[in-house]
Amino acid sequence: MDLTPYRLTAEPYYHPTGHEIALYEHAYAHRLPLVLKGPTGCGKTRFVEYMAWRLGKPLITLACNEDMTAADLVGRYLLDAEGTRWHDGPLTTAVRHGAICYLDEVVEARQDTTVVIHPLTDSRRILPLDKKGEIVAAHPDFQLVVSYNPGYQSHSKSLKQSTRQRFAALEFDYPAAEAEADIVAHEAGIDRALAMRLVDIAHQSRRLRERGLDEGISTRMLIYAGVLIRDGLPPVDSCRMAMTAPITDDPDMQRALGAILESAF
Amino acid sequence: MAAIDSLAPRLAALSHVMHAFGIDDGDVQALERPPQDGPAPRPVLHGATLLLPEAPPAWALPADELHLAATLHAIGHLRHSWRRQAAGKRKPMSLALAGAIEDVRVDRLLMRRHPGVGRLFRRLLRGQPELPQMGFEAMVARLQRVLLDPQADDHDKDGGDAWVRKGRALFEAQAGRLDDAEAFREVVSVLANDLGQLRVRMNLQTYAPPLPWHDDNSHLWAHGADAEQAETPLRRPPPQGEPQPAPPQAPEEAPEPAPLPELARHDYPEWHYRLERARDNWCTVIERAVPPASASAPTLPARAPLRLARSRRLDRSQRIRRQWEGDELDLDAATEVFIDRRLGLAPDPRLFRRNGRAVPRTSLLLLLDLSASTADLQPCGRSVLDLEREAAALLMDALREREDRLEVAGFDSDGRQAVNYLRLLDFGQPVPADPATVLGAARPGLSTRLGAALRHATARLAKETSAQRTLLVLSDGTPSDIDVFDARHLVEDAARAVVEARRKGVRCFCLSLDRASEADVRRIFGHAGYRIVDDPARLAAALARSYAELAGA
Repeated sequence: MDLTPYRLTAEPYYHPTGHEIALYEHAYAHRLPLVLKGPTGCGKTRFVEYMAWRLGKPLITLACNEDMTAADLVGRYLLDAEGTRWHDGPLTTAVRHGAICYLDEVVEARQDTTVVIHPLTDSRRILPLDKKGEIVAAHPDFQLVVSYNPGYQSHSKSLKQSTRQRFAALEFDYPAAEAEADIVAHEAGIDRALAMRLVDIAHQSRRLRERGLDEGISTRMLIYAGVLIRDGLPPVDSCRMAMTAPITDDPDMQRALGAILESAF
Repeated sequence: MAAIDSLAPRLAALSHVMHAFGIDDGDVQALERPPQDGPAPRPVLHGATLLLPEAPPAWALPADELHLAATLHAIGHLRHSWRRQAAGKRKPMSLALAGAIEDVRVDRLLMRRHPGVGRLFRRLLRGQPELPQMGFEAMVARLQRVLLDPQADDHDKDGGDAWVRKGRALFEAQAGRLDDAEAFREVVSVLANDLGQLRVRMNLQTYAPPLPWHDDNSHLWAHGADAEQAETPLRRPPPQGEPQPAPPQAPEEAPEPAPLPELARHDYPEWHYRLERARDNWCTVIERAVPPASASAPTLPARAPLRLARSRRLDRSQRIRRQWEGDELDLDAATEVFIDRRLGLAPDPRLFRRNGRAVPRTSLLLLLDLSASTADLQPCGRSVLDLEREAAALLMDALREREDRLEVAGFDSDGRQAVNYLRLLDFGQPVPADPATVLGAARPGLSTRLGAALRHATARLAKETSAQRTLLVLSDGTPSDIDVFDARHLVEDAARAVVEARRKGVRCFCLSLDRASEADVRRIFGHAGYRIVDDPARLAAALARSYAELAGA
């Protein structure tokens, strides 16, 4: 099978915040499964894309959701004119043909899905397709990377120990203010002073975590706001639309965030 | 009172603003003052709590903006100003002037860092009523105006003009050193001296900082022996718009109620962290029954019903057949497709099947802390027990129609020999139409031996056959008892009880209604096992989420 569509053609922009690149390279050298932990929109997905590009491997990304089942990962039988035909799922494709498989927000997936990755993430490196009666041995290039956001405090949305202990982990957080401003300025194409102002607002919102906000404003939201401002929209409107309006429905919190925006520009 | 009503809905948002600006313990409350002659009441900064009066009607300004400006100004003080400096023998006018210059300094610092704050202040200044011609207050007002709004011009041609110009020049000369309060001492002393020579007088009775978002600056000075009176004592306004539930009375005011009838006694071990072992049969839990509809029912505030999330769990016993898409082929449907094809008919393409969502039965035990401390009023003006009752009522209403089994129990303790476990609603018992009838028996009483209560609740849950057994504790969080003098002992014991319960497959979660107890609750229930709710408005949402997490929905 041709994995060309899964290869990254251009270098994705990534601004390292520590020595995570070297750590990832070592993990990949030994094909250790990796879990990336961190709040939403802090750069986990971008990091995986960058590493896939850097290592020259195809990347198959799957955003997990609560309706995703094991069959969506490994594949299923479909009907055609001849009868039934097996169709590999994205995980099976990555295992068979050698890609980095990235399961984004893995805790969102139903619990039966996380179990299918177990035989892939220990020394066996196999994927049994029980419905098809086949055992797929992993291609030497295959690596499994999953991400999740430990900020959700939930019994149902956390990884089981049996899953956790199969992974090496890299912890991510929002970059330090200076680095975050560089990223926002680069990605949104705005000047650095404005980027710094957006970062200030994000920091203010992150202080409200656990005081009514589940999550602070992420780097990704800052970039969206920056893009709108670059288009010529007024900064307060841009920030409201891309940063403060989406993150909460609580009217008190909206009022507070509105006041923060008004005071920033 | 009507005036304060319009301020109340803004207070929570203004508190959030303080937190966002880095004042972690900041809070904004309404300043309740009997109407009095003299100047309109000013905001008061007491510790990190800002007390806000209604906006003065003389200013044709949106009250929203004025309150936001006052909050931002208070943030400026908390970030940059000195606190309670000894006033010594300085004259009132000198102190007032120093306060006025300090007000402008913190405003300018805020404006430098947050340009929108400058626009807000200037907009407010332009709504300022016509300034009086004479007197100290007018001169201060003019000076502040030109310092905050570079476009403003001091048009007056009397003697004040020169003083204002001089003040502006002196201040701007130091403007590069805004961060340094000391740099402005000299400015104040020169200006105060000039005022003395101009024979300007200050009326102590009527003076208030001229700009309405500036607080009374009482936090800046300590006046020797009167220092304690300088700050206005905190008075919490009663909660607005809600019927006040019957206030929980101290036990001695009512005749001692006869102890409720005993149902059973159970002995439980207790963990002694210093010994690193459990002492067997250390605590006695006494189950007590509630006489039916005995106590007068407390009135519970009306709330929107709780919406509980639908289940997210898969159940393979529930297969949904004949779907357009799904996990696997529905063999019967697939066979029919082939039969149809052979017959030359159009086959029905719905030939997949998928696993349905489970409706797992949950046994939920709601454990209410009934210790005396739950009678304490919270910042919202209501007691912990009121909030516990309200949460219990919400949950009872929400679960009435579901298959889940619910037990509601309260506990308090009087030493290790008598941990009372009050069975308000048993598993299997129908939820009464009005939850208040059973919750009325929950009265604040003795101490909090949480570990023993948790062990008994776990034992009650262990008898349940539901797929999920969950224990939700509503508490103010800090265990204590009369025969325990080591504050850590009961915390460690309760933490142990939670570990044991989880090992037995009982999910434990705590909704704590008192932020001050967070460290203990975290120790007992673990970082993902608790949630703090000190705002009644957020109670329903927190409850729904806790339930969803516990029930795996």
